[in-house]
Amino acid sequence: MVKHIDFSTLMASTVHDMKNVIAAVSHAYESLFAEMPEELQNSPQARLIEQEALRLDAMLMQLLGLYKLEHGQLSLQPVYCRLDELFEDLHNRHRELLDYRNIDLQIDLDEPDLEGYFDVSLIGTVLDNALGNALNYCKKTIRLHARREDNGILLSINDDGAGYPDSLLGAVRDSQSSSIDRNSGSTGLGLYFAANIVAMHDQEDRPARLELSNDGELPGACMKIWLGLPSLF
Amino acid sequence: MIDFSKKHFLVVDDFSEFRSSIRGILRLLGAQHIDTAANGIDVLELCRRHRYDIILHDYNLGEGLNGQQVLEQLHAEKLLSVHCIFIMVTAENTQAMVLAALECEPDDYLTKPFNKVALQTRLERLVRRKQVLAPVLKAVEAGKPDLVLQVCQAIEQKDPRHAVLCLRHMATALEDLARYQDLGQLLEQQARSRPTGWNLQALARLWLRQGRFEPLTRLLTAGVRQFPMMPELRDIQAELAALQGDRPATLEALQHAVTLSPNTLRRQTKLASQAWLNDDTQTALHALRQSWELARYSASFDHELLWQLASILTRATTTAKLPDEAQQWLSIIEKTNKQTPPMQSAAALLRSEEQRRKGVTFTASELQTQLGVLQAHKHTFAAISLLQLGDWLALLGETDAAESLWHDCAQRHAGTSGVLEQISSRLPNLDLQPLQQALALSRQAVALHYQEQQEQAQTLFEQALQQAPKLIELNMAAARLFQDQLRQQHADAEQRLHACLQRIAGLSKLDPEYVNFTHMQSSLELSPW
Repeated sequence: MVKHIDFSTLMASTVHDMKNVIAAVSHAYESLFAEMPEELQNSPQARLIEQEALRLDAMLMQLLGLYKLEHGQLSLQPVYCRLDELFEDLHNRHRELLDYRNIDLQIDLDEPDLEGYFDVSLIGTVLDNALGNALNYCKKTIRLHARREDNGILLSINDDGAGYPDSLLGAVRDSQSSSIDRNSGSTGLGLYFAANIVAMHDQEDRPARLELSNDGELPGACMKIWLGLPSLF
Repeated sequence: MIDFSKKHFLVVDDFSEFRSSIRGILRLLGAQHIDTAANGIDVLELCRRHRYDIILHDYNLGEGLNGQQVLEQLHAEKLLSVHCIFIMVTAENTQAMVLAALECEPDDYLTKPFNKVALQTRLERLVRRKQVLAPVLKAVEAGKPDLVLQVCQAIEQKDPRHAVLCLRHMATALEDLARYQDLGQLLEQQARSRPTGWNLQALARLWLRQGRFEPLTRLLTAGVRQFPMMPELRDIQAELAALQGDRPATLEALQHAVTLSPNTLRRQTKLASQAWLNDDTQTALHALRQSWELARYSASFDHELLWQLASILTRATTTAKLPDEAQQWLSIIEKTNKQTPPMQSAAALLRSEEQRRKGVTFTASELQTQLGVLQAHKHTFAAISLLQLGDWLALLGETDAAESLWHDCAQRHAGTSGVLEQISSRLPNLDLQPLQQALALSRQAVALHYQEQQEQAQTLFEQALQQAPKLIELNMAAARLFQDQLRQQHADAEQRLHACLQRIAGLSKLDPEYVNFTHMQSSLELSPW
């Protein structure tokens, strides 16, 4: 007898395997890379392999995240995280593409030792998506900014592109974002995921916030995320 | 850039592809000394022979020990230098796995898959962190808490951004120096400005010891709201409820902790014991079966848990033949414990019960050998085993032997929530008052000890010890005071500490105090004073 498995579970398990495949391919590529002559190392094809592997992995992460979200399996593992390290990691993950496209990534922290309290891997995925979008729409500059606000931290990703369309502007909550047309492409899905991840960081009387605006320091799109810091007394 | 060429790496994963792929990445980072292992036993063996600077350890190694058990064993055998960086690698960030991986406190953990840049940045940060902390770690290694405080203060002044790394070492040093008031201040200040898991746990434990139950209750309520994924806070809630005599709340808190993080053995066994004492057989059975699943491959797994399983299963039936599952556990015990007479005798007792149910009557001499062994080793059994062993002996008509085990259980385990209730139903004529008084005195003394009123604490401990010299909770509490006094070079502290440990010698491996007990014992043997 064939045991019935629902499609989404099958998909999740396949995605899992796909992630391992990507990891294995990337590791093999990294070993090969070290042996390549310099001109090959600097070739557009090498960049393409790196970018696309990264993009595929990010898409799979998001897919797996969405599956877990739907099935209530996504659990939050918040920890303190230095924001300089968060941004450094983010920069590292996109460095090849940024360099290749000659885009200037500015990192700006109001205080050098700022830290936040959140699930590093989930918020990392949200930021990866946001940076990916910014990369698509910016002209030549992207700015990552962090500051302390209301016993929490405010993160923003801002670019010098054309900005969000008016229909997207304002605060985004998980409940509203489901009204986004999820068939319309990656932006909608990414935003849906981001809104849910941010909402998971709500504290009892202090909800986390996700907001889209065009009023950043740079003229283009600006995504802002506010996450509370823990307090006991 | 950090130079990895001199560092010794150990890469642990059950998949050879993953081992070679990590090795490949490490080579790209300049690493030259890379060992690999596929299972926990090999890791322990390698660590006994070599000192590694960086260990990348997969959590789930298939059959056999998992990463958490390996790390616990490495700590227990003191095979890791304080300078070693241990990174737990998890394939998937499921809650049970991540919480279990965090509970044994690796330096960091990484989710697979990761690429070269991710590993490199992570390693560089960790190495830099250890470099900053190196003088602190050296002082820790040398066992000099005064020096730890000094160098921590120096780091704080020189580079305030690293102050946060020092806090935990400062807290441990203050505790080693028995400066509990200062410790409380440090922890409370930290809990107000930047609450973290360890800091909250340490503050809660201190307040529990100091008997500050009201602020502690508020702290724990706020704590579980703010840090819902922290099973240790539920453990402390359970301890608080136990001290307040609220057995249902004790069990509930433990169940909560186990639901959050089911992969920790000591918590499962504690849950099993508390559930049985609360007459919740199903929960006890479930927790015992889980314990077996978790630790069956661990060399330190205590087969007494299997005996408890078999015993509870047998108790739940009246059929002549023992239930199949009980038979299965008994066979495992009999096969693997040929050199452990008390386990053999305990198993034989259940076999005798089967005979009794089939109508066989026993003469006194037939049970003599088993009785002798059980009597001689009664101190090595956990509380709920002693109660159950007594129950079986009573059914076999060995009332005196049964009562002797129950008596012993009361004398030693009265501090365990629920034990005295079980005893009073079995020995209705036993006067429990002296034990209860001794417990009350002991708990007052603990509060005084952690309020830095050592002399008053000592007087109360001595009074209590006259009333209940074998009580484990009391002896361990007094031992902690004498250990502090020993560090402060009080006269006779060593003898008093030794006497406490001697009175509860042979403590069951399943006792919640077992780890602390063995630590104290070995520190006494190595004592430089």
